[in-house]
Amino acid sequence: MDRTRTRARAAPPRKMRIRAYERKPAAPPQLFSNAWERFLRPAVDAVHQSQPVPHSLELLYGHVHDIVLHRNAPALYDALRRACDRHIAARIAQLAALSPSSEHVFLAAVHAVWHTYCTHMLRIRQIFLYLDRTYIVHAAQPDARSFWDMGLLLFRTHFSSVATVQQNTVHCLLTLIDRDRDGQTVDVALMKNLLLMFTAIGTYDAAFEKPFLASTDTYYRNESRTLVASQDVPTFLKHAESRIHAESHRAVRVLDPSTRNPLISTVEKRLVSDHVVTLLDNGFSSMCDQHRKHDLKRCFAVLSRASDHMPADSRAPNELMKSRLIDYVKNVGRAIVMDKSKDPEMVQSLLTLKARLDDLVNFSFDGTEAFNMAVNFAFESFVNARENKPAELIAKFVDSILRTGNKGFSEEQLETTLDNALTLFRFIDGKDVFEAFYNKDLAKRLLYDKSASLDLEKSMISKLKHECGPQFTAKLEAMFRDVDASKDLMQSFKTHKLSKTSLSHGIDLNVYVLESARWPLSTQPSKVKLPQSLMDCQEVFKKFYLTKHSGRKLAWQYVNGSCRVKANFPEGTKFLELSLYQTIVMLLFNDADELSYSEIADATGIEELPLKRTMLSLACGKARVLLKRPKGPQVDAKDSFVFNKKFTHRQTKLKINAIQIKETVEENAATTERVFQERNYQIDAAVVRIMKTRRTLQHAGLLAEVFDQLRFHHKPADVKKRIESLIEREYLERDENNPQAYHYLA
Amino acid sequence: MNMGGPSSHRRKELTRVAQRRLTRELAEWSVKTPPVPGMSVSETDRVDEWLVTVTGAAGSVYENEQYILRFVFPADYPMEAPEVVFLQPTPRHPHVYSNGHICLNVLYDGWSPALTVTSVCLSIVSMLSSATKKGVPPDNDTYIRNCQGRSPKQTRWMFHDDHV
Amino acid sequence: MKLTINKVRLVAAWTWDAGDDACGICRNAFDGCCPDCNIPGDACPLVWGNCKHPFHLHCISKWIGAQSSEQQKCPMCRQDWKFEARK
Repeated sequence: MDRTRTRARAAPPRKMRIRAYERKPAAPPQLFSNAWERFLRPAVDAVHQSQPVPHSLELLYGHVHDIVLHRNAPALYDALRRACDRHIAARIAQLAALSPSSEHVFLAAVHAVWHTYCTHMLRIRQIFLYLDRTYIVHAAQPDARSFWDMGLLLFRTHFSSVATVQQNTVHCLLTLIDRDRDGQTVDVALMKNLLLMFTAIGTYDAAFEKPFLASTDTYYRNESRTLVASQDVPTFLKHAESRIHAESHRAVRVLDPSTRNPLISTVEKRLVSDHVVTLLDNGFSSMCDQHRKHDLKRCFAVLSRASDHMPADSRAPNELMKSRLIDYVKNVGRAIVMDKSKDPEMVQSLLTLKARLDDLVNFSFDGTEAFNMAVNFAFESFVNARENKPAELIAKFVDSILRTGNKGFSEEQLETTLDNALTLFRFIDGKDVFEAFYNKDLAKRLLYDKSASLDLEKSMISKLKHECGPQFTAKLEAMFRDVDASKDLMQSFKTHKLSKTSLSHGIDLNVYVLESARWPLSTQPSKVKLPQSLMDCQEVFKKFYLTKHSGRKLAWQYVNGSCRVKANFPEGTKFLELSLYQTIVMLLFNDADELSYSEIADATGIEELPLKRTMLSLACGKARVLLKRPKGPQVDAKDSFVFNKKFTHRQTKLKINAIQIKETVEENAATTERVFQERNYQIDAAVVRIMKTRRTLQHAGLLAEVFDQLRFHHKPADVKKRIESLIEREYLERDENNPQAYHYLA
Repeated sequence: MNMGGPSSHRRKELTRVAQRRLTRELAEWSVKTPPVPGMSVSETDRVDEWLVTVTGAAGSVYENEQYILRFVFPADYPMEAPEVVFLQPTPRHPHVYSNGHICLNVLYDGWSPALTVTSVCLSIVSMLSSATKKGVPPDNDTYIRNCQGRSPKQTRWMFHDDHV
Repeated sequence: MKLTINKVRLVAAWTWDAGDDACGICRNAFDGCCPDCNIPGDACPLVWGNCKHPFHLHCISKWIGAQSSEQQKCPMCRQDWKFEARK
């Protein structure tokens, strides 16, 4: 503001003239030193000593104003600066003299100095406000852009330069933080305020954060070293998790926000990354084994955090966990699959294992697809570690579900079990083995009316179709068609005049006519001799069938036939469900009471093994309609058999034909043999296909291409055998000069 | 005269049926037991082309003479007849033109899928045997001039003379 | 009579009845199927001509289908081809 005043003279309308001063106005001499020494310096000193200011603030403000107006601002600033400097220097010196042995006391003193200093400087600023606004802000001081700034700078200069003070402060802070980590109570607010001071004077990063991170590093390096060795893995993981949480909390409560990330990553590094492999080695598989879902979930969460800090040569923790999981599943699975004594429970055990692992992946590993795939990969690997048997057992398991007798389970439960069995099936390389056994079991279910539910059967077929394509199930579907068509056929037979013959014997005739290539049937012509009545029935049906389907022929499968026989025992009439073989044998006793084994063999034409089995079922089972002489649990060629006149049973209707449905060892072997035969064809076909396009190939090259084409497990020796066979059959020839090379011939 | 490749254009890949059938037929021609004594087959480097050596029947004017027949099988063999010609030197016979083309009903309109390489060879040997003396067909020169290297299957054959 | 049969269930497997022969067209045995099929039986039926010669339906149809109507002859005996009426 311009303080010169124009003098107004009365007497308008005279013209007004402004005359310049005759001499330039000047400040009173000693204006600055007078004002400073008498008024301002005492005021500054008083503030610094927390005493009342001796003059009114307005007066002081006016002096500052005058000094600045008379261009004495630089001198004033300088004087003020020196005055403040002296004061803070003295304060810091006092702190330097203070022992930091009691951290709280020391830190409280530092904080007191800082806090008072700030209060004083604010008051001083009020006095020198004019200087601050007009001079300090505008004069572009090299290190201070305001009075406040200047104050901070002065503080920092002394706080940092008197080496021990800042160092002691930091050291005390770090000690307190470590104590906090150790669980002792510390003054959080004090720490927070001191750290704000560091931030305010601009030494937070260099003076505090750096040593803080280093001390954190040391703290957790030491702690984790001890704990990893002494705690079990789940406890350690719990600890690590709570540590990370606590440090994160500390960052929010006490530290500058910028410290949070480096702090957490330091903690993660020292607590987790350094120990990933040890932790997995010591605890992973046992946690899986004990199904510790929550611990594993923690493990996954904690170890995943370590991903960013792994050493360059190490795999990511997730990858490590995945491969541990694979190893674990493989070990457990292999133990189930390879133990022959546990074959009967194998499938159920595998299903239980799979369900458990699915639950684990879902719950503990967030359902991560990579972990699902790891489990599947492991299953695929161990299920195929044992050739063929798992496929066979899965097929039998499915049979046990589809067969009658699963009372107490709802259709939905059975569906679910089928779905689960199908997931196992998916892992199997040798789907052909499954198919063969499924085929055989389905045949039995259909031929002996053992199927629990047609809906369930159809649903299983559609599942298989969906899984393996229509080719896989075409055969199975045709089997259902045959059974349906046979039922229709019998309807029309019963209204046909030819059926009178069978009726004349009083026999209700039913025939299943099957398409032979689609059913697992014996191809050998049977030498079994039917009793006349059955022979008549058979022939009349054949005649009927051929009028309907000329150009066909029928091969009778007596081994699969069955009868209901009315048996008049002296003690009562019984209706027996028998196999056809049992019937043929029993009917011989219409004309005799006792027959020797060889007489029976001659009369029936049944081969030794099935005949012995039949005799065993009739004479040594639960319901003995024949008596064996001599008694004993085995049938011998020298035995003879007597019609059991004393036979009694609480039921009127009873089944003795269970043996037909049970699988025999030979049947099992035959099924497996069929698969191998089919595989041989496939190997042959693959070899011929390859050689036809390649004309000439080395042995190894051929094996490699065959391997690519085949979908089941095979040994190179098997393929070699097939190659030999193809050479014999002149499809291939060996190179004359190089026995390792083959040429295509046909 | 160029008696090189068969005159039908580019050969199509044999169908699956044709391949299986030829594989089966070839198996009958096993080296150890040829279906007919004096005949032998050698495959060229392709499945759809065979060379068959036939021997003149005992008692005929071609006795012990060996000739080579070339069979080229069409993609849908046996629904279509193979192309069959004599390679040089051809037998001098009234139904065999000097370019190797054979005037024989079963090779053209008279083809039946029930015929095989064996039965065709037997027919040709029997045709040779029926000649009482050697000699080219009377229209040999005209035929060859008109035919200009085409496949015999493109000729419109008139079979007025089944017996020589 | 000690025992009488009330009810019997027999099982029979059917195959084509064409002797041990092979199909004259594809040369596959009649107890197998034509080269285009995988499983013998209903899916690859046999047919007979009036001349009693059997073929795979797929084989003879291909041949007959490719001939003009007056040229339709049995590949085996060259008689005019007529499907034998059967059920």
